[in-house]
Amino acid sequence: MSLADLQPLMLGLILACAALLVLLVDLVIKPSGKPILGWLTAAILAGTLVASWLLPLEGEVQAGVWQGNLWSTFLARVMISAGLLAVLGGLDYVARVWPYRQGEFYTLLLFSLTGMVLLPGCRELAAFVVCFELMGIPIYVLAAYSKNDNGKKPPEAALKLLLIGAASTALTFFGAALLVGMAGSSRFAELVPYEPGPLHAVAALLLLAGMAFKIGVAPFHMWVPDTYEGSPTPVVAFLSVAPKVAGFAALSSIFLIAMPTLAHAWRPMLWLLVVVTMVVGNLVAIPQTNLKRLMAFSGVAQVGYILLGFLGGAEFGAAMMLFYLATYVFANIGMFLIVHAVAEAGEGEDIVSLNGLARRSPWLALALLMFLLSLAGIPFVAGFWAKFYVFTAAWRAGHGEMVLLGALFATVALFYYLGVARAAFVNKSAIEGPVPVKRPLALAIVVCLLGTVGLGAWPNPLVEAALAAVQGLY
Amino acid sequence: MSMELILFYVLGGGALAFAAAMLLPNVGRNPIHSALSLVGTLFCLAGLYALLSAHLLSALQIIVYAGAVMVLFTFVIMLLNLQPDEIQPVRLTTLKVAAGIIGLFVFGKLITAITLAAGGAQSVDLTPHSAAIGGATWEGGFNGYGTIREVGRMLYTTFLVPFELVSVLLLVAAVGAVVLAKRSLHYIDAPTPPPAKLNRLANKPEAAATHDDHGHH
Repeated sequence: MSLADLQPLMLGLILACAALLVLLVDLVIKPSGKPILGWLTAAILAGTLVASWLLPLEGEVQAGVWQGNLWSTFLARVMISAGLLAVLGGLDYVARVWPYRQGEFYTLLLFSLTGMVLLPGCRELAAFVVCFELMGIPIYVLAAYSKNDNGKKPPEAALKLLLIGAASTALTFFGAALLVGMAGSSRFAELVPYEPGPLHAVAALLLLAGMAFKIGVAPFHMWVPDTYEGSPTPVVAFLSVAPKVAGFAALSSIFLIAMPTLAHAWRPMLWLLVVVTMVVGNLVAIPQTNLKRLMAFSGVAQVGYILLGFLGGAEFGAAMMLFYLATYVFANIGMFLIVHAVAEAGEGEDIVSLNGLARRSPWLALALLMFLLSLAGIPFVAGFWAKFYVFTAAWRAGHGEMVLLGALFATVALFYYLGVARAAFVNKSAIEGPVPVKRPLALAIVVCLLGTVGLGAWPNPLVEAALAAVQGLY
Repeated sequence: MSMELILFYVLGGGALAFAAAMLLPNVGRNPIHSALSLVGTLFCLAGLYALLSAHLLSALQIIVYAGAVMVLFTFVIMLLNLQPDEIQPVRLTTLKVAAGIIGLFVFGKLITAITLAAGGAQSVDLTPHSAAIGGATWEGGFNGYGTIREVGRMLYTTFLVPFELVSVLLLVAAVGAVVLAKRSLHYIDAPTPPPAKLNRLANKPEAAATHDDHGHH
């Protein structure tokens, strides 16, 4: 094997090398110069994003253990964008709050991204499991980063994430071990026979449960609100989207590539999970007063919609799942970054802390409104097309009842999303003066805003890219 | 009953018995006893691996898990230094009972599935002539299966990429552990003064609480 054989893995290799570079630069740099590490990371991520169009990333590694194609590249782009936006948004916060731990922060984030970027191309269980863990373990550390904020909840948040993550990993491994034991091979193509037995179905359900923990599907979502509330907001901005994108990529490769013949076992379970997720996520979000908890339950509800695309199955459903994920990245990261900006101004993280935002910082309030509308699925921002296409996919697959349920709960969701908007636009606040927003944070919010509005006005290029990407899955 | 089957039942039963002993109330009151039971489970598992002709894995299981990992366990137990009266007696709550019932249900389902599957299963012969079964992945078939040579060859050919990624994973764990365990650098002067916008909130304690590397201002 030569280095040229590793060409399809290039994005992951670049990110891993970048992580090592940041770690080394961190060793030699003076403490006062450490904020440069954040810029370095952002520059590398932007460069990697550009490189994903320039480098030839198609092909097989090691006789099909790893497959690089439009599917893996599309997902890698979405994940790297999420990482870039989170790094930009958290740049000043990280430099101010953890001045001596910046290097490790970016190193861990880059390593997590390495695992994510390599995950969608895995066609073999050992590689798959290692990438899955490489994505998850750095995030446990990042969630615990504010280890001794007096009186707040970070240890609890991180511990919940770690324990639940470990439990879900155990379930995933158990399922994987059953499959490998029965097949005598760990390749996806050979994992499940044409006529699967009852133990294959058990393995499928174990894998489904393990991954449902990771993407926060109800009733496996218990860790989500506490972890979101207790972890540092820039980390949550990353945590709330990038692992989800990777989780859906993992679901797709396991269930669509390895287990199409087992669909009779996992489809009814998935159907049930979608219903429970939409109901729980949307209903429990309504009484929340903390913005991050609200966003956590909103995230659970959104996962329900994305799963609807997955349930829509076939090529169109999977493509619309990709489109939904891409729009979700912009709207959700943007939303968390605004929460972060307001919290940084010392106003706290409750919905009331947004009071009077429209008068204090009209642009920030406008961006907030756009993100909320996108999450709620109002025409003509990106989220509307995402929901519309996902519903279309589900309808085509004969899940009319799900479309009805989804539409119903989209209306319920409007209630709590607009509650947030009301705080910003209608309620009055005693505090005057604009909310100070640092430049990199503002840049990240502007990119999210452009993404949300731009995809709303002109969704076709991304839809076509998603449709092309799905060809790589089969 | 063949010798192999007898060994399987002894080792499997031993693994289960030690695992159960770990959780028994009278053993569980002393963490060191639980750790010792865990050693027993790990040894039984190593025996099971040997029965499956995974000789290298069996040796590694004893060296790494029963040896190195258990030393870490005992260190942690020593560092925590829990006194017997500090350990809460196990109390049955509704949640635990519910979890137990659901666990038993899943266990029953698994047993049913395994029994059903066992009916249609063919036994896999691990001798060289049956190489075609897994030939696509374990190139070269089961010839020398489980030996250092075979495992090493697989690690450095078929599984090279995941193997290298595991080393990245170890680096992540090391960096993460250092970051979380190292003391806050209170003794070095903060390089940057707190931003001006926080000054107007100086009377709010939460505003200062976000500085965990350089304390309160």
